[in-house]
Amino acid sequence: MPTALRQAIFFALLIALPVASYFFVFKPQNTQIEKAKKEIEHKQAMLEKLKQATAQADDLARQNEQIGKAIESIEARLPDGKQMDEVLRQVSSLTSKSGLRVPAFKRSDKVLTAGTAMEQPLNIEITGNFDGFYQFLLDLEQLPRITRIPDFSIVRSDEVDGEMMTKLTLSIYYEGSNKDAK
Amino acid sequence: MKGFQSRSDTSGGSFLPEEYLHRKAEVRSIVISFGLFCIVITGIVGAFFVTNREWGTVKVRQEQINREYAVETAKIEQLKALEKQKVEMIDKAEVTTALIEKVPRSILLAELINRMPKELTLNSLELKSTRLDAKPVKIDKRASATSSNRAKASKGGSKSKVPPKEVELEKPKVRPPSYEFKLEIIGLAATDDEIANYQTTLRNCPLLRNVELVFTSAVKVDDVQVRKFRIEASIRTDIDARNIEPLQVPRLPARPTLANGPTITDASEFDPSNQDPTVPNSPVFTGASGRSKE
Repeated sequence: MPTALRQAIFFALLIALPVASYFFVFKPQNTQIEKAKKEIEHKQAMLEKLKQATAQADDLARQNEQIGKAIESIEARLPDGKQMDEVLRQVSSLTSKSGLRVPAFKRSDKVLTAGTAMEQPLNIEITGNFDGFYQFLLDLEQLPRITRIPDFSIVRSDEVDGEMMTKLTLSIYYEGSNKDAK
Repeated sequence: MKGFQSRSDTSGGSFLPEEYLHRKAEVRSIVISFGLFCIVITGIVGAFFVTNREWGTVKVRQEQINREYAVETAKIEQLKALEKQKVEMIDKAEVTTALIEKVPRSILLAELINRMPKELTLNSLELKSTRLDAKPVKIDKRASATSSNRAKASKGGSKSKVPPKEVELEKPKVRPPSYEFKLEIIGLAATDDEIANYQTTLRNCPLLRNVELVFTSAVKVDDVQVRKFRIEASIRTDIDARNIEPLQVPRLPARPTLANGPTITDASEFDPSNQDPTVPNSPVFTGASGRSKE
């Protein structure tokens, strides 16, 4: 084989070697690396978002704890039963302290459900002056148990100057079962 | 290429044998070729190592990211559970806090009385509530039943022990009690201006909405011509008035739960001629002719 041809073949092989290695080794590997890099980039971006989201977990747990405590504090104000004797005693005490009179104190037959608690409406009639009634309301709102006044009617007395008669519905709440509801 | 085989004739003649020169040129070309081959191979191998190393680094980083991703995904599950818990707790809190009166009646009364103009008295004040309870929601579970349940049911056939009602209905969701409050105010005033002023101040009251004057008419009380009026309003249910400071109440001490604002406790400090709506005025439920109990 002539030397020139041999050398030409050699040089051709010499050039073919890096070209072939590029196409058969490096190019696929580079493609793989690029793909992996893109995946890493994408996951990193996702990871940032996930980290931001999961950073709220502690706050969320704290918020849940606070809500739980708030619920407990309200539920603690719900007695197990109606405790009508206690309510009567408290109303009587508050009205006498405020210089009011209670001509009528009547339990309504209608017991209602109020969310998870039971509601017992009480129909109360109170007479006295406005200052006393206002003081009665202030004191009533300070009672440990939950109460509401959904209805009231205040009418000026025609007989005694400065006197008024109030008819109000005082709803008391307690923990009970739906069986109590009518 | 020719340079590898023979020396140039122009470089001058040589006394060495042609064969020797030819072999020497061949050896030189072999050495050069081998050198080039080594350079190329070294380059390829070097490039391979560099690429391989990069691939290794990328792979390690990828594994690390995947591990972190798995950890964060687990945290996301935890977060979802916490969010679900929060929704449940908020629902429960909504039901529980609905029991608390958002507009304490003492504050409502203070607002109604202290917004009254000087020559105006109230004869009656009525608050009526209407309960607006939504009907409990019954969810048809048949639609959301899983395929596995269906499969179990179909396997059981007619002998299925699951009671149909249990499958069909979920426990109704507890709803908080909600109310609508209507207020009716009947009173007497010296002039229609006083009534209009009272309506305006009531409209400005943050606790009330839909403040409407129903009528005014002339009546005689103790031989004095006065105007009788009726105002109706609704109490807003979307506000929480528990922590607001009502307009000053001169005859009673400050609410113990409220901020220590300036409060007139001495009756002598009370100036009835002052018509500033933020300052207390005439007492309520007294005689129409201005017969004050104080």
